[in-house]
Amino acid sequence: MTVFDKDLPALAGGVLPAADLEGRAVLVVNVASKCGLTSQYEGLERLQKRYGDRGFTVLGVPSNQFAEQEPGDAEEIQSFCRLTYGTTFPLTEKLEVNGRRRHSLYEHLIDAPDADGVAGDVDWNFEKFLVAPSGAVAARFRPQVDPESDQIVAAIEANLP
Amino acid sequence: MSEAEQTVKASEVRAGDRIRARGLELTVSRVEDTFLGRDEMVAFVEDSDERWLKLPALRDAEIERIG
Repeated sequence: MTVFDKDLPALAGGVLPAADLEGRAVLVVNVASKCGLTSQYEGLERLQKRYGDRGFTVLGVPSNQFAEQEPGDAEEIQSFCRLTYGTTFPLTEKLEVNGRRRHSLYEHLIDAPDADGVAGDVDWNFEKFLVAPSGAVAARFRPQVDPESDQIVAAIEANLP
Repeated sequence: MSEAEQTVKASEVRAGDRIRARGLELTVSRVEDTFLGRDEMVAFVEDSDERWLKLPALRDAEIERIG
């Protein structure tokens, strides 16, 4: 089973084709513009630049479910990311990652356990799921884990196509 | 603040309470005992048909209980 079994809605409108993500290592991150962890965008963009040519991409998923820290519309989110952090990786439209209206992408992701063996709901903004080129979830990292930490970098390098 | 409203410590909030904090109102479906590994914090979760929302708070923070 692959996590990317259908196209995703893109923040800028239209879709992010599933075919563009299949066969790549993808770090899926629920993002927010007004969070204490928002500066993690910097590390995420450095990962994108470092590994983007080697079959890796970050996929940002804006969500307003954590203290409503992603209140803006698509244009505001896009502008914030590009102008503040110079992001180049793709973003979906604002999605729900927990609860009864959880997007199907996260239905696949949340079954994956973290390093302590705990699966289930997304804890907070900037939780990270590494999806292998096979489409299976390879690893899950909680929000406090820095994007450029040894554990995330090692997991990415182990899962490059 | 009306008679029905009360200021309580975050640690006193229980499932079923309607609260106001940090400019947000929510009906608490459950209280998580820590937040991101920080034992001095709790997190309130509304899990309803209308929305899923999490709001953390320091245990001794003052919270308005409004119902």
